Amino acid sequence: MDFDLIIIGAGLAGCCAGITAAQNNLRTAVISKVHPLRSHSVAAQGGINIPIDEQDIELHIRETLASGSGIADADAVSFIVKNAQQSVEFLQKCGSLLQIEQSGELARRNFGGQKVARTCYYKDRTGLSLLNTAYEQALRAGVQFFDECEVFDIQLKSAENNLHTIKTWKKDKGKILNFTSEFLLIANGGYAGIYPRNSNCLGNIGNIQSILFQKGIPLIDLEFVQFHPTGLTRSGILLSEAARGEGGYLLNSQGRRFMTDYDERAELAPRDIVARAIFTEIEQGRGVDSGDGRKTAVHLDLRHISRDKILEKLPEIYDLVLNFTGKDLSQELIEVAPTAHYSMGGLPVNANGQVLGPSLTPVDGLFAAGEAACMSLHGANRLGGNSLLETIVGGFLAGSSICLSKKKADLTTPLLPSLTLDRFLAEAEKTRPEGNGIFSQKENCNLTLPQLTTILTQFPAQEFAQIAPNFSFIIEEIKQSLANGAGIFRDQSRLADSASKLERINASINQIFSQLEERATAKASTDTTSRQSTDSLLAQPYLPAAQELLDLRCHLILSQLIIESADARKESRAAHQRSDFPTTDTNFQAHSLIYLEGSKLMIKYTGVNNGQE
Amino acid sequence: MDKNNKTMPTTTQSTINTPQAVSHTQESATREIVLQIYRFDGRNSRYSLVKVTAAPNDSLLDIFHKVKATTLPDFAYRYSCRHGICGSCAIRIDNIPVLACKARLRDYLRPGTTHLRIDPLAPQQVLRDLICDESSYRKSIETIIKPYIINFLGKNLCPPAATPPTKQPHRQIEQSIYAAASLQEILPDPDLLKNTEGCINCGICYYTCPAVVEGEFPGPAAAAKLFRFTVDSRDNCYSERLKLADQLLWNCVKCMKCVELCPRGLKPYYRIQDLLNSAYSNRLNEHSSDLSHAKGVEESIFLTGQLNDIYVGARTSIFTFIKMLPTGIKSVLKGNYNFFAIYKVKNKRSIRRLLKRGSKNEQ
Ligand SMILES: Cc1cc2nc3c(=O)[nH]c(=O)nc-3n(C[C@H](O)[C@H](O)[C@H](O)COP(=O)(O)OP(=O)(O)OC[C@H]3O[C@@H](n4cnc5c(N)ncnc54)[C@H](O)[C@@H]3O)c2cc1C
Ligand code: SF4
Ligand code: SF4
Ligand code: FES
Repeated sequence: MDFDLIIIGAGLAGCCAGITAAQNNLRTAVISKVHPLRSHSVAAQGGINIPIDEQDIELHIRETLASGSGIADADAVSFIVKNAQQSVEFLQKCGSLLQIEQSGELARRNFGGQKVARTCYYKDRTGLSLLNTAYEQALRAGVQFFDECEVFDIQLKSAENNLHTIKTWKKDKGKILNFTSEFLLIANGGYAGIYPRNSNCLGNIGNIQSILFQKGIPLIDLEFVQFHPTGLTRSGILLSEAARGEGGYLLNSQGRRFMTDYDERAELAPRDIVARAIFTEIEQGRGVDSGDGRKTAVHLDLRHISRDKILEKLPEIYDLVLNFTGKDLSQELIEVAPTAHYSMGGLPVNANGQVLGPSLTPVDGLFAAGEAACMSLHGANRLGGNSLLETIVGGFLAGSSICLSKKKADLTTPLLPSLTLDRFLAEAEKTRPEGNGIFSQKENCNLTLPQLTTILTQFPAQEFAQIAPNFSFIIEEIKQSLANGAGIFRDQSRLADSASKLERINASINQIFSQLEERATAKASTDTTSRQSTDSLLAQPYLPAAQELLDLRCHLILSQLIIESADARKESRAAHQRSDFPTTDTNFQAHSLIYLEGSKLMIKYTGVNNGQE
Repeated sequence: MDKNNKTMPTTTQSTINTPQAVSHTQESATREIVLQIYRFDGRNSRYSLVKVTAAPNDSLLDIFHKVKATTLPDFAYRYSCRHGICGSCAIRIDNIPVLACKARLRDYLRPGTTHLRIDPLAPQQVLRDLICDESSYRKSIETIIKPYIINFLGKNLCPPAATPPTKQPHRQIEQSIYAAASLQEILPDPDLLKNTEGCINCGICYYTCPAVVEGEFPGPAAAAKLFRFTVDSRDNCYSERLKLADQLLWNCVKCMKCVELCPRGLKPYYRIQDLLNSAYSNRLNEHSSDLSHAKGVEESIFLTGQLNDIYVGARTSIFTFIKMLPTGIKSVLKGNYNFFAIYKVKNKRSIRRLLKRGSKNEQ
């Protein structure tokens, strides 16, 4: 099937880009591995940051940059903040329900790391309301949706082929569906789901990032993974920051509000500070029982807030706690612990949302938006409420840029919402500032897993079940190694341990895959009748084994890349804390770029645009 | 799908040991249960019997993970968010439809039993194990009710607004001011939505509603969605939507299953009644026989305390009445209809009171 624009991912970023593109008569398709309304965006509870007024724009920018700890790009930050109001207002005029005050102003709540209440919300279903609207309007604009359709391979445009080819597994039908398009937009969300305890949806494991990495596209700032301080201990499910925003306390085993020891903003300090404080309290023996007999949690206390207020402002959180712990939030203490939550890194993009190659030049026809992309709004640490904003503004931006590149000249219908693009578009060609010259490379990395596609499309499912190992155990092992090496605190020896463990796993998987591939091709050449094997793994609807193979790839690739990136950055900065390099080093005030060059794994650093002309 | 095999389940048996030592408080609480899980591999269906240890506070989803990790590696089920907001994981426990991630063992294990049967939400549309093809549900919303705000933004400008219907819950905003309107001017009062914006599309109501017929009655969730757009001041298609409600929704049989089972407390049934009431009152000035019939029934009960066929007939349409007269006379002559058996209703006052109370909106 051929389209002008294929969007991978139907979260807020994908849907917003789809609205703009389809309204400008681009033939647009959105591919998602779950139904669009089940995308991870639906789970965002807390809210979205919108500057209060003209004056607040400055402060919002400053606070975002401060939270980014030196590696948020000033131009991206100011672009997103300045376009916040009109982008969100667009959604607000066609269906979303951000609450308004009597005065007609958007209602706002406090969020960590911000001195003023700036976070707009709809109860604690902000994401639900925004995503519903974006999806609805994309439907209305004529976007075609292909859901339950998981991308497993991408062939980018090249000299021989002037279209991108996207291969997908239509899971509910048990079929392979191929798409081609002139433009490809990646909006498949983040990868924090590859951590063992995380707050993300099942599918947030960075499939597309790993596939594109294998094709030589770089990934940027991978070492920065945000841990949310307050996950429920058992599952990692998130208790939104709104709980602290509305005045919740954190208590240690002595019943003391320990956050005041760590930061003057106490519970409303940025997430990384709170997460580390909790971790430190636990390490130093002041943790409370997390329900499994180990003292690996602290208490969240909302008992001083009236029940009515809780029910009015935090109904979803109230239900969540009641349901998952059996406790009444307004009466009892809740055990919480940090949980992997958000990936600051991703695909490097320029000011138009276009993906950059290893030499930092834009890749033809390839764009990215949302959590999958790294516009470098968040730097080393994301401010709560900024990511929904990034998905919306970034989505509209990518959609607009694609329309503009498609039509080259001016558009007949104005883009909606009309972002202030001009200056931004012009600056996109500007190259990034030089990096610090630090460079590392690693030979012989078998990270491309070339056998996978053959196995998926040719191996008979029946036989696979009999001979293949249980890959879900291996995935579990990878998750654990990742968390051990690149958790809240990192150091040389832990990183090295994990790296060698992952290398071993990588080697054995390559071996297993090669054997499987051999068998598959041998089979295919003997029975020529069924070359288009109807019994292959992807020809089965929802085959768990096929799913595990796909999930295995991104776990394996990304966890090694995160470990390598974390190892190379020999300093501490916001979400990346090395106990062996506890201070921030200005040499590392740069983005890390990790990519494949043949079989060599390369890491280099590129400078930050810090706003000084 | 082979439904015959369903009655002859083959059995996979196994015992699962608790992976780690557990603390005392938990130990007393965890217990061994037996799950009878529906399986379908694309050809045959059967039940797997699985023993598993679980704590009362475990969700069914936790238990599925455990089963998958230890006994049935190829067990397939849908889930995503794990906290009841994405609507992926609807299944049936002992035939009660629930979200697996929210259902706690303690709430579904009857005292004294250790056995639970797990079935897919839509047994007729299974793709694999507990995963169903939901396309009919999606269609009921996406292709039938125009599930999006239609207003002046965007390229598909809405059709020119019809004459504003009488009882529109919100005022309509002129095109000229829409784009520039402040949020306060255009936003609906959230209370008007009655929670319908909170639907997570789990499909539970759709797959349990007895009245759903594809292409005819689109089911409770679609109705709730339709309602959501009729009370939103940003939408410009109020009367079209009411017309659609009028065409689609009368087949609800008022069983209230959707109210009882919706995990988000949505009460679609009441929204159907709201829509039909609005549609009804919007048509009051129309002349159509079904409307006159409905009015006739209401008046007859109000006046006489009972259904008076002659009155209702005459009220519906005088032509129909005359046309039906010979049949009526025949049935009186044959004794099928006895004028004198109609007894006088004694307590008309309280019947009127009931009628009045009933016609005030139900919820
Ligand atoms: C519990 C929780 C609460 C949050 N709360 C807030 C908050 O209050 N404020 C805030 O600003 N941010 C919040 N965030 C972060 C925010 O929700 C995300 O950053 C944002 O939703 C990402 O949106 P997205 O559009 O980039 O991608 P997503 O919404 O993650 O969508 C990804 C899409 O890609 C598709 N996809 C993925 N892989 C494939 C593949 N291989 N093939 C096909 N399709 C694929 C998926 O199906 C999905 O449609 C929260 C995050 C979590 C985990
Ligand atoms: S009350 Fe009506 S809509 Fe609801 S389940 Fe029953 S028949 Fe279906
Ligand atoms: S109305 Fe309720 S039961 Fe029906 S789909 Fe929506 S959330 Fe599920
Ligand atoms: S997994 Fe999302 S609702 Fe159950």
